[in-house]
Amino acid sequence: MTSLPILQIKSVTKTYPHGIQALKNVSFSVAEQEFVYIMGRSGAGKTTLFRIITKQEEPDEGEVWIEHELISSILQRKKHLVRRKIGVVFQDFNLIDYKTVFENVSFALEIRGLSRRYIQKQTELALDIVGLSQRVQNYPPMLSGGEQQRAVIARAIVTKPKILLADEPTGNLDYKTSESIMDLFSKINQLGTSIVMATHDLDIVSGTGRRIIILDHGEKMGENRG
Amino acid sequence: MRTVVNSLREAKQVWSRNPATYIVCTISCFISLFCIGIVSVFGIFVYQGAQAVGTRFLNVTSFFERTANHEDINQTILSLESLEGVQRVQYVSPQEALQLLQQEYPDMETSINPLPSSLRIEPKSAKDVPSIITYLRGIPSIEYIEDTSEAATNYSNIIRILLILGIALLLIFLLAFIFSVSSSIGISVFSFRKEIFIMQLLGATPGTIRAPFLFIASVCAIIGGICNAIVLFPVVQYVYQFYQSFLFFSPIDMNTQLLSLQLGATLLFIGFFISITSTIFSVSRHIQ
Repeated sequence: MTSLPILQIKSVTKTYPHGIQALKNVSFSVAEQEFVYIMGRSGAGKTTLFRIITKQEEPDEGEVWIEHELISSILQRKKHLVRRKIGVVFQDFNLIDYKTVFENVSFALEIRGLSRRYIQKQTELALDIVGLSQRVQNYPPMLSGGEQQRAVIARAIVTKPKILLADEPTGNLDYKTSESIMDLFSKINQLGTSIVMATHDLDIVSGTGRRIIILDHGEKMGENRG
Repeated sequence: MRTVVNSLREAKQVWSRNPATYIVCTISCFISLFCIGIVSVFGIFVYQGAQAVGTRFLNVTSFFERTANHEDINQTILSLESLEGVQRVQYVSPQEALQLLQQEYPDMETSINPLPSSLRIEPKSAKDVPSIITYLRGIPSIEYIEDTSEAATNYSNIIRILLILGIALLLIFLLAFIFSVSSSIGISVFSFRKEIFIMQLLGATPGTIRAPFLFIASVCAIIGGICNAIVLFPVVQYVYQFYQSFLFFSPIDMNTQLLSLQLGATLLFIGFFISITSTIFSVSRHIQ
């Protein structure tokens, strides 16, 4: 593992209307190829942090750097350029129901206007990594929760992002499926992608030896090893 | 090219999600454009008619003294023709005046002609009348001046009110058109919020997100515009005939087929432009 930070969060503070403080002076960095967990209860600020990294929201104070670029200074109309550097996996899958698994995954490349040949090749590769090569023509409602999450992961990695954000990716899955999804994340991490995963499930992080950043009521309480 | 194909594919999905909304949107586009067309046709005819009738209404008649000779009259005609506000000067001899009078009152005794020579002066506009009258008052051989500027001013005020009313109606129908398109696209954007959210997080540009909605709005506006052009064609002929029979004393000469074509094409373009603009606005508001 190299020490170059791919993501840097510097003193980020975010307060919502009515004085709800979601993040309070949070700072940390994620190195290339690192796998980091953000742990905390509901309302700890994990999702707000991800929303700030993906520029769905702007911090009140502080800076966010991705690949040595200060993204908080990027104009709103250019925010798609930031998002193209990041892969995102959600708890509730967010697949498009009228598209097949293949179309859902290739959609991430299609909106970038890439060639059909490249899209075909990369989509097949991503689906192979997540083990969904046999379900390419199925629609999301025809898949199990684990398979849907695999499809989402394939969509997130098909663009070869440097960093993957996963917000409670196993939140809707049973224990056995969660394990297989975690194995998949480990595999993706080994292939060179940095992963930042928000979770409140201690079983997932324990015994991994990976860095854990603990958030509580919007404040960073400390760091630990799983 | 691939981006266009992808956008068309997404537009198909957008359409299939709310087909009734877009059918209503197309009908609204058609009705709004048709109403704009009808108001415009009336506006054009009223304007043309106003010019024709205004020319008839607006004139100054100056009556010469019976002692005025041909030289005085010719000199007055020449000097009036050189005035800036004068459109036309027509000389009416005592004999011609008598003939006109006889036409109106055939039973009248005409052994003696008491009528003087006169000049019928057509000003360029009502505002030129006072300067013409002032000028005529300075000519000693002119005994009496008669002008219709008051009637013409009243007439032009009525026309002005009609035009203001027409513009107000046009604005109302334009607003109805904008509201119809933007609310239909608003509904469609709302029903596609999940897909838009996914597209945004995958790094789609605002243009890529807008493209399917722009395509749908364009289709609605074009279909509405073409229907309007087809229906407007016979309606313009009918309105023209009605207008001609109404203004039989001062007919207007217009190529109504060309007018229908021009109006249909202009409204199609305006409809397309407004749809595109209001769609960009609706989707951008959601993306923000």
